[in-house]
Amino acid sequence: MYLSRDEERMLAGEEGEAVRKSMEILVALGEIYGAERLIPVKSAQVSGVSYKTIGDAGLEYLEDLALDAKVRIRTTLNPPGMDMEQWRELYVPEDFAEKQMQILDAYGKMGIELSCTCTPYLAGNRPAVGEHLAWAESSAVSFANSVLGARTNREGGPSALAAAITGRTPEFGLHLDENRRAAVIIDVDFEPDYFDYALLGVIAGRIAGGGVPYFRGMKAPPSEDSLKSLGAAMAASGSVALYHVEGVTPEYSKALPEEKGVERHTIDKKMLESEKERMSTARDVELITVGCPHSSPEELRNIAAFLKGKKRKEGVELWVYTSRIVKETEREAVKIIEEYGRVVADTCMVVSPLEVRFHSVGTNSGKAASYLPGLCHQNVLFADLKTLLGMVVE
Amino acid sequence: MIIRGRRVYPLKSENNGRIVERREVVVSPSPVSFLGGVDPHSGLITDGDARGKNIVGKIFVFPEGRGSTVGSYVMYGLKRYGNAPLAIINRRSEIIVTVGAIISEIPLFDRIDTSLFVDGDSLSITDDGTVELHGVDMREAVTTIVRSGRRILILKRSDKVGSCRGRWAGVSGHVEPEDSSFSQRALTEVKEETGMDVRIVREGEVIDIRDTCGEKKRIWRIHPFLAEVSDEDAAKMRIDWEHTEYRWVEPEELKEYQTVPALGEVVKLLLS
Repeated sequence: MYLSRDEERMLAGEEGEAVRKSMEILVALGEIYGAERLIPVKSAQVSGVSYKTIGDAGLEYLEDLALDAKVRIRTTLNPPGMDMEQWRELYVPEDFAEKQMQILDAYGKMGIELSCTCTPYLAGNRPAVGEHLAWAESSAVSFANSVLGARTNREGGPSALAAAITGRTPEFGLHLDENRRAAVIIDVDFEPDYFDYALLGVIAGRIAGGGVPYFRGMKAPPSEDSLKSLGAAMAASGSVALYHVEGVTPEYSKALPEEKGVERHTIDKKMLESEKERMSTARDVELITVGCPHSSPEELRNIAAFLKGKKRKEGVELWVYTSRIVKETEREAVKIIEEYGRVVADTCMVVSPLEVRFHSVGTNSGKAASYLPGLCHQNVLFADLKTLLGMVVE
Repeated sequence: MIIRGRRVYPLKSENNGRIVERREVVVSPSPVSFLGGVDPHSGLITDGDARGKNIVGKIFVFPEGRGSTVGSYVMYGLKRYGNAPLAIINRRSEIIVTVGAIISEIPLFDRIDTSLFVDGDSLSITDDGTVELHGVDMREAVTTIVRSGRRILILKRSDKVGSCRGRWAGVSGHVEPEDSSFSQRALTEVKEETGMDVRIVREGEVIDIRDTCGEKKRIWRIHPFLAEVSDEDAAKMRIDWEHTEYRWVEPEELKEYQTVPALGEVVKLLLS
């Protein structure tokens, strides 16, 4: 792999130990995946933040690294395992909270913005078409590549950190045009609504695996919120990092130069129904969780509009997840929702220790429905927003 | 036996450029997830088909990493708590193990057929990616799968043969220095062991197989052949001292037999 003189110096350790280690990681990955050079990246999104997922091993690595590491590009952070302000009210154990704060301190010392969201593109970092990034967090990777037309591989926490510390990433995979073309066509033969996109994503992700799906057949262009939900679900049931929607996403016209020889699948409404059945393991739930990925301003307003004026029914709790920045700007919607439940910032249902208190949850997210049984030992009711909210109001 | 791989992450080499010298191997035949699969506080493998083995101070051999990228941090934990392996050998290195090896300073080598190793092997690794497997030699052999219609011939090896006694196999034999070609050797073996004249229809790619039947001290470099036999010739079938039984079976039935290592793989390669 070709390295510039500056990069050679970084690899030789002339800019410190953290830079040297980070360069070693990027060069090794570049060699493995056949990159010819490193390219500059505009921003990084770092995963591996919740104490629940990275544990003591991760905490210790980050604390050691923070001794001399500083990021040199804009770097944002994934959700930790708790709302950093109201964790006590949300049943987070004291020792967990302490470790979680140490993790955030380490990231903060490196100069990373403690944005604590899986939707950096809704929290002040909306990349432009063609911008190269090093993002971890599979749902954000999918959104950045597909909806925004930016370019990032599906980074892991440590490789995104290495990119943040050096400002570079090896040029392979989705940074290159030839890997952004469609690998499988998915014909949708009905008009999906907002929740259908979550179901569609779960099924399409399983079909596409790690490939690039190309959707067509939707007459009404999906909203950004629907695309956010679709991409998150596909990244969880498969490992889709890029998809195209005909007539909608920025690169669709270049994605399918020739249809011949491309695998084709049709997804119909009946498949969605049986998928919903298959993923639902609970009927009665203790908690409704909405906001995976973190709720957008529109999603918060929709929830508030549905709830407003209705009478609260006792029994089932409602937690709506969003980023702190969106929570702070959508005060009116937040105020309404808080009459019925909680608006939880920073964290989410998947990376927080829900299992210390709950055993069954409802969600409308394909990603959350995929991960809640394994990561949080929950029985899941996978249903649309109105059905879920209907369980907390008369 | 010398095996050439690729160095992904070296660490300081000692004498003769060796990174490790005659150290013991621990093998996981299936891919390893460090998160949830290896305990950083003990070095114990806690999941998969190598469960219960300990990797502390060993050369850890497995095909590739899998699972969460947090696995890289678990490797760092192993190092920090003094439970790291001395080196790692993969068939294919991927992002989790590569990053983990670098942040934990564990030497990593790849592009090595990890199925050639068994627990307890003694290995030396040189920093150019060369691996020396001590006390294990390599012999070349031919294996012929004889096909008649849909069925293939398998033979049960007798107590008088040198290896894998009592196991089912194709028609096999050592390659001798005087052999003019591998296919000639294959035809000779078929004639000697079955009495049949056959026609070779396909030569498969060479495959290295660890002999796990007996003392595990040998790797066979197998030259596989597919041969066809006419009904008339098939009727001449008779076995010699090397076998006690033979059968014509459908390829799918192979899994019901206790075979020599990798026979199923060889058959699959030849029939694909």
